[in-house]
Amino acid sequence: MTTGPSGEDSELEMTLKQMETAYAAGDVPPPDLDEVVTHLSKSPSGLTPDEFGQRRRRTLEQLSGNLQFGELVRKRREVMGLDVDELAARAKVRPTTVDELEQGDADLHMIDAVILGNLLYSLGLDGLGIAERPLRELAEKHLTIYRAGAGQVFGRTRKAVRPHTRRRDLLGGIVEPDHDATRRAVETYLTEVRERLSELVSSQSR
Amino acid sequence: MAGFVDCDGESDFGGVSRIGRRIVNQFQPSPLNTGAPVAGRAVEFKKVRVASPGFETLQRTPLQARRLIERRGNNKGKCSPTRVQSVAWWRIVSSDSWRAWLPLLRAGDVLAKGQLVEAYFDYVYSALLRLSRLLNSKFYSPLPDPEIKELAEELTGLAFGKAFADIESFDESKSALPSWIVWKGRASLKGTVLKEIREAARHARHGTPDLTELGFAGEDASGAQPDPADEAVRRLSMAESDARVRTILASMLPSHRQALTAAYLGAPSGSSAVDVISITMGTSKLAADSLLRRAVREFRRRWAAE
Repeated sequence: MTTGPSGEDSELEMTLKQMETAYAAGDVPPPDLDEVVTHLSKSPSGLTPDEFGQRRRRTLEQLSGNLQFGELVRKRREVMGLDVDELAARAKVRPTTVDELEQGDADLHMIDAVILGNLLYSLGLDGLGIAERPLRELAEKHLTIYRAGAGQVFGRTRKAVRPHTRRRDLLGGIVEPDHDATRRAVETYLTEVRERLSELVSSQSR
Repeated sequence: MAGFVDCDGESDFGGVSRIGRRIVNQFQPSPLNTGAPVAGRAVEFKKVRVASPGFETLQRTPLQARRLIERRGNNKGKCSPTRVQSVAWWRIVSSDSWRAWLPLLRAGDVLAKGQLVEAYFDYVYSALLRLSRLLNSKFYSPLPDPEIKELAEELTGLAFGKAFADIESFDESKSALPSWIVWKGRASLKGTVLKEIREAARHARHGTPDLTELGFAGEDASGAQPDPADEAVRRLSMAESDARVRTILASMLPSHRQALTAAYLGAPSGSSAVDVISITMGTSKLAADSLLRRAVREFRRRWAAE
């Protein structure tokens, strides 16, 4: 059935063409799709775990787009049919924390990684996944560490200014941010959130 | 953290999972089947569901799974702790995770989309990579494998994107969501992979088959727009024909039906159809070819009789 224009070959072509047209337009897949696809997927691909991981991360990054961390949290809470108070009660955090986080007004300096882990777990997450990039961006803003040596800096505080904005404004032009230290702080924070999530997942399965 | 459960397929550590409404063989591991790995197959897991003989299913991290196996290892003497080894990576996820995320996906939750991609990327990508490689191979491999891998990645992204866009039309009683996503990706195969293969083949050596003639069944190679009236008549007759195809397939022997579905997935060529059947049904190419011939004859006989 693989060579030559025999009668059986043309019958195969005709059958496949009919199947192609039968299943091309509709949303109903062909029968036994699960078995066929599972076997296809199981066959060795020759790819290393790292390759899989890199490709998976790239696809996730494309999917996350420019969404903010707070938006992701709010959307998930809404589709779960929870209001802020209910979610706060589940996660054992203050409703204002949830509210500020959703609005983008929260300061990660003030939200412990364990608390954030609890909150994400209450939203049904067992890992950071797609939320990692937006959370990292947020943490890079909020957990910025400035180089030492400027001595004491005095400044006036205005109302409705977020703490991380105040720090940035006060220290801007006086001391430079320490990018390496900031990166380490962000990594530590994210690791703690991940660890908390894993801890909660494994404690639930026990 | 790696863990390898080298059981002989008869141990009491079989995972029970569901794909659609069907219970899968508990000793065939795959990203959709959380069963214990079969003997000799290198499988690492982040988390594995370990089911006891009474089907009490537990979520376990690799370390916990290893300890559990060590603790119960001598049970029936079939899976001893000494056979727990460290090996290469594979991800095994709960087969029915997607069911929990389905309502969230239908509500357009981005986090749920991320969870689905995170869990089933490897499954979808592996299947689409396999199809892309078969397609490339059929046309004398004009594209090098790294490019095929890139195209398969692009195709996987498209497949997930299409699936998220059409999630309302997904019917969980017909297939599992990950398989449905692969099917969605397969529909984009000609627009991504075949297009690139075609382009590469134009610059390839003489003797390469003319891909514009051998394209997917139903593809309009010329790209000309059909007449609207003709198109309406064609659609009407196609709808009748499509219903007949589905009826015939539903009434066929399961092995024949599965062979034709595999051939359809491996289209557009007869040779890759045989390859896909050989892979999916675990038979030799000769046996796959024979099975396909019988299935096609059966289909044509029923088609003529209808």
